[in-house]
Amino acid sequence: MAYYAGWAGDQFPPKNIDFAHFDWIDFAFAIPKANFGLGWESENSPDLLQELVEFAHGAGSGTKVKLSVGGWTGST
Amino acid sequence: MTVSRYFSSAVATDESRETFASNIKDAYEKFHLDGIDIDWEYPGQQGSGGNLVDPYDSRNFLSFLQVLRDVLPPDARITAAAQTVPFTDASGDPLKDVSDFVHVLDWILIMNYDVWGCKDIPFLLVILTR
Repeated sequence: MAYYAGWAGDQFPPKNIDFAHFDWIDFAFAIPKANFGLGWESENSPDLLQELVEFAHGAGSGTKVKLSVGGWTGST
Repeated sequence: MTVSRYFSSAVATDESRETFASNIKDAYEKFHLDGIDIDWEYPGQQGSGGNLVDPYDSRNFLSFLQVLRDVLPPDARITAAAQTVPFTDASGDPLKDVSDFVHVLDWILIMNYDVWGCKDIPFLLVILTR
């Protein structure tokens, strides 16, 4: 498995991933909020996650995607 | 500030666990996910600083995972990132028995990258991106 860093979308977009190498990819990160909802590290994180899932599921490699909730300090 | 700040309060009560799990389920469905990974760094500990901490974090975490397991579809995978020692107990020591977590987690990811260092010979940490 590998983590996909939500802050690496510009340098390494999902379409560049060779999904044949991965059974699982964890998107990092969604962040627990004070109201027990989920927040994101950047504005484009939801779009990036959606893109990652579309490419992963469409790759024909059986690659699956988890959303990783939490983390250390975040990217910023 | 740590992004794991609100885990403790999110898993603290029946009500917060239901709300947190329900919000995660919404994301699971919205994004057509295959699973959820919980990367709480760390239950019962400060982590990078600024975490809310409760002595019963690990016990509450287990209760939360049981709720999450119930609300997600049976084929959803639930995993957790873990240190090289078990989750912390109420007195701050590693739990001696974490067998209950076996029923709610499909697997864990050991954060071996937390264990590193160098003295005379530089140590190179390589993170594979593909």
